[in-house]
Amino acid sequence: MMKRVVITGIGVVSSIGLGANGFMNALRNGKSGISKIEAFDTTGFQSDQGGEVHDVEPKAWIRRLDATTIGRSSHFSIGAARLAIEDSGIDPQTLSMMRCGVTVGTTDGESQAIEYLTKQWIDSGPEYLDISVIRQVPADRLAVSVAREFGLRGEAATLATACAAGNYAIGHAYDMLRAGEADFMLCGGADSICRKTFTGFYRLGAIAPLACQPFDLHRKGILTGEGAAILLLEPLDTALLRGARIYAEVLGYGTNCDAKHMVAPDPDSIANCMRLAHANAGITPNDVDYISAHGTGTRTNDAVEAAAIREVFGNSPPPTSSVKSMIGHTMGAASALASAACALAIYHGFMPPTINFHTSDPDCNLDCVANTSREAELNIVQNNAFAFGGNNAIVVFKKMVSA
Amino acid sequence: MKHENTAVAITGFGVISPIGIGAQEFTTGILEGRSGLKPINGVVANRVPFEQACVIPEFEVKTYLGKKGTQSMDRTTGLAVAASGMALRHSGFAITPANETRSGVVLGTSTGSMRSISTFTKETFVQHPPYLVSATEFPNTVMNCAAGQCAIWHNLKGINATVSGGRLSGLLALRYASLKLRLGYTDLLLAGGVEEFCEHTAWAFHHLRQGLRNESLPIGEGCVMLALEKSAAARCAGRYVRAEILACEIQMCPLAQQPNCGQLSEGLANCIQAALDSAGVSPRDVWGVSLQGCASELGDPETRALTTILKENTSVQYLRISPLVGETYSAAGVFQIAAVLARLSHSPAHERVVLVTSFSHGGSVGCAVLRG
Repeated sequence: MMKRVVITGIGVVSSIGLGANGFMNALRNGKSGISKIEAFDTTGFQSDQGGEVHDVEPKAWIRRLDATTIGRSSHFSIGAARLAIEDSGIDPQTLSMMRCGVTVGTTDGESQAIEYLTKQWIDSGPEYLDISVIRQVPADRLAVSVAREFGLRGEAATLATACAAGNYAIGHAYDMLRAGEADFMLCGGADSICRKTFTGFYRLGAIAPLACQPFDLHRKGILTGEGAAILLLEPLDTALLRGARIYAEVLGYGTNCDAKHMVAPDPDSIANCMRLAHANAGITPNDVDYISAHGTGTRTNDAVEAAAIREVFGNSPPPTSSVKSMIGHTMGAASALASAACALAIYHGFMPPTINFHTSDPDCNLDCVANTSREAELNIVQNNAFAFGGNNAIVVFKKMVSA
Repeated sequence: MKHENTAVAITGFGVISPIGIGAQEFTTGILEGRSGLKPINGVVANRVPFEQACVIPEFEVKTYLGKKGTQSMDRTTGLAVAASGMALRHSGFAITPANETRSGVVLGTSTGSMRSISTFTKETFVQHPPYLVSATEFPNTVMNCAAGQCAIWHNLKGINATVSGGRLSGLLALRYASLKLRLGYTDLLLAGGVEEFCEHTAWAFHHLRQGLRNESLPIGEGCVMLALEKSAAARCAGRYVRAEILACEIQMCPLAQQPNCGQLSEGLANCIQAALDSAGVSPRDVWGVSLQGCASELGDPETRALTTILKENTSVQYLRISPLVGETYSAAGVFQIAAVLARLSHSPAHERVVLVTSFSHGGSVGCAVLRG
């Protein structure tokens, strides 16, 4: 008999707010986290906007490890994990005595470490690379750093499945728990603003000049962002036993691969992924009250996603909004932050808005909860995530009705 | 034994290694104790800090996979795509429209292609304006590129995951894949790990080694992909079960600020014991151990841990693959498994239990229990 799995802690480090409450208030108010990018020199680019996280101090979150040896993405993942543990009310000692694993999704890992070393190589040659920065490069550090900071004993894995990685991490954590391979899981995603990724998307003509406008007729692309979200997951029975606040149940997930093109999304494959997620969660499209879209704000993604949604849901799909309109595309953190948004939306009864929305696009034609959040009783929601490499992952969450 | 009716089998493997390409050549290489160490000349265009490494100069992406679709394919992806094809052929599992959505890939890599990422990043600094980078190279700079290309080349439309775990990457891929098979998400997964040789990893390796006292392994490269299925399904279809995965346990050992050998060996010993318990195997029944074998400035926590657990078993065979293929990092764990498969195929018998142990200085420890 498989165990049921619930979310009992939410930790968020984002450009619109810290912690579960800070993030929820920002989502409710449709706040924008977009500002001029400071992490790297944007000279020579026509756009310089992004969703940077400002004013975070490693010392506030990193206590056991040496903060000077921690890269920015690991710093975010540790911070979000600490906020999730505090939010859950669980004694950190309990976590370190039980089998608590960590799964963190990412696109670029410690990209700023790689940028730093690349610059060193150009300026001084490969003989002069900084060893302490080299040590930060392997992406497994994102998960391992969380485990070490909190003295955890379970498996620590970084899942590098690009922009769907957060959902992969939550899905894997759900599997570990329901199969009885772990007692608790900290799971989510983390990424830092990245010069390489910004430039790559810019080269593809996919960076918007000022604002991310998912599903808008005049949408001009993504804005890159950064941050992390970590959720504490545990089996329903232990959550009930310790009287934990339960944000939502993880009902199931689906993941598949287009196996067609590295970059262009495939509507049929995405529709199949939705059907797979629904089947694994034991629901039908009619049960879904709200969709948290991948909604990047590129012409292609939003049109393909909307087409796939209509293929599965028919002509009156549920309201579908994109938190990327507020925080930009946070890459490997994106679907973890969106999952945190889903859990908060279910628990507090509202739909996050798609901000910057002005003109409906007939190619999308969705109720995208335009510009202002909406109060709503949500029972079941789905969180979409698609990535380069044709990696699709969709997680389904459900409201817990107290017994 | 636990998981008896959901046991996961290895039905084939593809290997591209410094001691041979393909399962047969690799097996011969192991039996001969062939060294993969050779001059680097010509393998990379730029200066590297040593003259020899365990490289595979005979593996060139375009000659191996053909020119179609490989114009901008990097070495990491080429290795993974080629080894995946070998694993499929070796297993006899044919991908068809009927099974393609239940067939997938789980690939271990800690960074993706360092050459692709570093080269692209460098271009953003040296081009004027900075965005005059190559659009076709951009997808290579994302860590899941290799797994995505494996799916495209071999039509694998099911689970497609990329796991990063440093030296634990191979066992993480094995554990991830085994869990998905047992839970019924999928019928076939190619699981493995890949590491390419390039200037960037060579220099990083060189710098990291400076601080180590007794690190003697040269840097290596290569890829191993394992074809995994449920044992019952594989047997039913008449495919040869080369080994079964009885358990795969991965843990973190709590470390102090500065990790030491005692903590790592204790953590690894706990992990080995947990894997044996999960497999329902006694230390007396262990026939062999395939070692990671990377001693370091921390001493040798692996030998210490194994001595603790296997103290009453004096007949254990130790397989050492890293002296032949070098330090292959993300591929190290799957090279250890490939060495087991090679050894078992050379002298077929039944019910031999082999452990595969793995650890990293960050505190990750792992142990797989195989039977074949």
